Amino acid sequence: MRNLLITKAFLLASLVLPAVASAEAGTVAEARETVRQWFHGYEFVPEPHHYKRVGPHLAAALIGLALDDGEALFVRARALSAMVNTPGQATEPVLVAFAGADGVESLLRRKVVAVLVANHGAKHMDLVAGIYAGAVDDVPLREACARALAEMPGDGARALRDRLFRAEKSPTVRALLAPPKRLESTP
Amino acid sequence: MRWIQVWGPGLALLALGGCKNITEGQAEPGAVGAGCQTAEECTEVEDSPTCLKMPGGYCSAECAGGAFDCDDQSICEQLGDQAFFCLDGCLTENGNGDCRGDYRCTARPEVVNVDGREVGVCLPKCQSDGDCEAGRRCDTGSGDCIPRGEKSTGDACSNNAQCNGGLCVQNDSFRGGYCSARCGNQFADCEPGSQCATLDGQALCLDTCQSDRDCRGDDGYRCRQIATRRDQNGDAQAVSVCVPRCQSNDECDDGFHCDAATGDCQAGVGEPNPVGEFCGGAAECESGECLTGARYPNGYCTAGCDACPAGSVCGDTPNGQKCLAACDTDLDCRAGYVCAGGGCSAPCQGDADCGGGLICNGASGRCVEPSAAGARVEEIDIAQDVPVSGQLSRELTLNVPQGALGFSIVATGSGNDLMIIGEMRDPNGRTIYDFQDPFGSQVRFFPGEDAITQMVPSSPRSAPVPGAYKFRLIKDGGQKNIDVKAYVKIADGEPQGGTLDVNFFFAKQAGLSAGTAAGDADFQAAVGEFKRLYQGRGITIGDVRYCDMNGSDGDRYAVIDSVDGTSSELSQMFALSARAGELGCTATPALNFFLVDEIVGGRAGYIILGVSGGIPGPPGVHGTTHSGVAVTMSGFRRRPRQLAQTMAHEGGHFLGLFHTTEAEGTAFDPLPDTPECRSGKDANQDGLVDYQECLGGSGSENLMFWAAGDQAENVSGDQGFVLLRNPGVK
Repeated sequence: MRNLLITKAFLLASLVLPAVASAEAGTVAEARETVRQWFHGYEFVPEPHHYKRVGPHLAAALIGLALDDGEALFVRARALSAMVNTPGQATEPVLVAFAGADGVESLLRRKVVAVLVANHGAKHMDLVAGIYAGAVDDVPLREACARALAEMPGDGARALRDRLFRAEKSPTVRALLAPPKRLESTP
Repeated sequence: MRWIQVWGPGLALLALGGCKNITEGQAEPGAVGAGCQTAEECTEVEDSPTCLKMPGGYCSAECAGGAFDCDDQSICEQLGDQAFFCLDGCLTENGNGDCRGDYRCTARPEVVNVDGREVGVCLPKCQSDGDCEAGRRCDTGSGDCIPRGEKSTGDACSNNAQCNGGLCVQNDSFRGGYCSARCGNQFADCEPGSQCATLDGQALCLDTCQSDRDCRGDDGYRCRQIATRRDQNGDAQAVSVCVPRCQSNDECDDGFHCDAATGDCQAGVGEPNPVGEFCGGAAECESGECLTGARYPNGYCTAGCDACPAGSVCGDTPNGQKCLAACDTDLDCRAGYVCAGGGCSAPCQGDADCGGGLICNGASGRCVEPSAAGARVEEIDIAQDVPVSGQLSRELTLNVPQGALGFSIVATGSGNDLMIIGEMRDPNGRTIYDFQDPFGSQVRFFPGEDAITQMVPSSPRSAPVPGAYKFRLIKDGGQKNIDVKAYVKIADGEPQGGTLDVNFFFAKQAGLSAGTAAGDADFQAAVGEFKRLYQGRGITIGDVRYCDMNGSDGDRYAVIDSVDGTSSELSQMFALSARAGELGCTATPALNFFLVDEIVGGRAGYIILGVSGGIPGPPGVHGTTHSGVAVTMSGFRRRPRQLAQTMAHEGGHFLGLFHTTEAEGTAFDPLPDTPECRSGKDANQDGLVDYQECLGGSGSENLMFWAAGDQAENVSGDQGFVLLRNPGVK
C-alpha cells in the first residue's frame, strides 16, 4: 500500500512541479541534501529564514524526503512539518495523498494533519475527520486531529468538534475537543 | 465616563460605546491573558474563547481588528501574520508587573487610557531582536524589548545601553570601548555594516571596513581581512573588520608575537622569550634553553634550577629539574600545559611519565594518586529563602572540601523566571563566571527556570580547588525567595571511572512498556549501544529500572506538545520522577529517561529528537521540573542505534556537556580538546555547518555535535573529565 501512496504522490507532485521535475533535477537534489542535513539536528528547529535561503526547490526537496521510505522516520516527519513553509499548490496534493493512503505511519499522519490545517485552514476538514474516525486505537493521532480541528475556523469545525467530543473517551483528546465554556449573559 | 482614544495617522477615534479601561494587576484566572491548557479553561472570555499557543497558554478570543472589539481590559491586535486576537492590557508604568511571569508589557503608545496613563499589551518575553518592535532590541537576560542605543557597531562606548546592538566590549584589547552585539546561533544577525566573527572564542558583530582608515586608528584599531565571500557574480570579495591592534605578546597565540609596527600577531618570536613562553630553538629564549618535542607544544623556554628567574619555580620535568613558569591553576598556563606543583608543566601522557605509584590522568594531564575507593557525594544546604531579583543577590558561599572533583549548585524557586548564577569567584578570588561576559568566563553556566543547576568544572581548566567559592544569583521578573543547595563529589584521588544508574519511564506507546522493555530486542539493542558509548569514557551504566507512567499520564505524555515553562507538559512530566519508587523505578539517585512517542518543538508538529532538563540537570535529584531527559521514540525500531545516540547525547547535556559546535558554526563548547567546526566550513552556504560538512576531524564525529550522524559518537578526554566529575555519576 505504501508503494501505491508513493506512486500517487509522485504523480500529483509531477503535475504541480513540472519545472522542478525536469529541468533542474540536480539542484533539487542539492536542496534536498541541504534540508536533510538540517533534519538530523537533535534539538535544532530550522526557522523560516533558513527555508527561504533554500530557494525555489524547497517544496520538491521536502516532498522527496517525505516520500522516501529509506529515510529515517523522523526525517520524513520533519519534512512534512516543514511543508508549512511551502503553503502553495506544490505540497497540497502530496499531503492529501498521504492523508488518504493506507499503511502510513501514525507519526507521519499527525504531521500531515497539522500542516493541512496550518496551510489550508478548514478546507480539508472532512479529510481530517476521516483520519480521526480511523484512529480508533491511536490516541496520539486522534489528539493531532483534535488539535487541528480546534484550530479550524468556522461553525462546521465547531459542530464537528462537538459531535466528536460526545463520543471521545480519552481525557487528553476530550480536552482538545471540549466546547468553550460561555459566561452566562447578565442583564 | 470610561473611554479610550486611538491615535492613528491623522486620525483620532473616540469611543462612544463599548467603553474600556485598562487597570493595574494581572489577568484574572480564565480571563484574557490568563494561562490555560485548553480553551475550556478560559471561562471569563465571553466570546469564542481560545487558548493561544504561547508560554503556559494564553486565554484569548478572535476579534475583527477594531479598537473596541475586546473587553475593557484587553486590546485587539494582529499576531504576526495570523488573525486578530484580544490581548491582555497592562499599564507600562508598572513594568511587567501587570503581566504573567513569562510575559512583558509591550507599550502601545497609540492607545490612550481613560485616565491618561500609557498602556500596553502582555506578550511573551522576547528571545531575539526579531520579537521586538522597530527601534528596540531584545535584552535576552530579562526578556524585555529595550530601546536600541544610538551608537553603531565599532563606535567607542562606555556602557551597553549606548550601543545599538546592546553590547559595549571593554577590556585591555578593546580600548575606548567597542559597540558590538552577540551573534550566531540564538542571537540575531549583525546590523548592516557589520559582520559576525569569532574573536578570542566569542562570536561578536564587528565593524566592516575596506582599509585601516575606516577604523578608529587613534584608539588602536585596524582593518583586518577575516574571510572571503562570493558576490552575486560569483567573484571572491574580501570580508574585513575593524579589530584591536595587539600591544603585547600576551595578546597573541603561541608561536606568534606582537608586531608593534602593524599591530598584528606575527609568526615567530620577536624578542627572546622568558621562562614558560614558546620557542622554536634555544636562541628564542632569554635563558638560552628551549624544551621541544611532542611533550612541549610550541616549545617551552626554561632554565637550570640553580637560578630560576622571578615568576618561575623549580620543578620536575622529563628532562630533569628545570625552571617552570609559576602558577596557581591551569588558567595561569599556556594552552596545552597544566599547573602541577606550582609550575606550568607538560601534561603527562601515560603512567610511565609519572613516578612514585602515581598514575597519569589522561584528561587533566596530571600525575595523581589512584582512587582507592569510589567517590561519595555530599549534599550541602547553602541557604534558604535568599531574595533574588534583577540585581545580583547577596553573596553566598560554598566551602569546597579537599578531594572535591566537582560540584553542582542547585537553586530552586524562581518559577517561570529565568535564573542564573550571575557571578562566581574561586577560592583565589578569581572571577570564573560573569553573566555579562558568559563566553569569556572560565566556567559555562546556562540559565533556566524554576530549578537551575550550575556545575563546576566545565572543563579541565576549571577543576575545583579546595576553599570558599563565592557566588551571587540573579533572575528576571520580580523578587522571589530561592533555596540553594550543593552536591559535591569527593574522592581520595582521581576517578578511574564511574557508575550511572538509569530509570526508564515509559509513556504509552505501541508495543513497548516497562513490562516488555527487558525482553524487547530492538530496545535492548539501543540500551546496549548507549552503554557502549558511555563505557568508552569510563562510565558504566549500573542499575537499570523500567517503569510506566501510569493512568492518564501515559496518554497525556505520549506526545509532548509543550516544552517551555514550568507548566509545560515536558516540565510536568519530569516532575513525575518524584514518584519514581512508587512507579517501580529507583528512588535513589539516577538519570531519568522519559521515553515518549514524540516531542513537538516547532511549527506544524516539527519534532525534536530529545530534550535535557538542563545543561547540566540536577544531579540524581528526582521530582523537579528539570529532573530528566525526554527522548522521541517513534520509528526507533528501524534505527535503534539512532535512539542510543540520542539518549547518549541528551544524557551528555544532563551531565554537563554542551554542543561542541552549534548549528551556525559560531558558538562552541568551553572544552579545549573538542574540535570546532567553524562557519567557514559551510560549503553549501546555507548558513549552517552540517554533519557532512564537518566530517574528517572537523567536529561532527563527536557525540555532542549539534546534529546526529553515523559516526557521531566520539567522546573526548575533556568531555570524559566533565562527565566523571558530575555528582550524579557515582
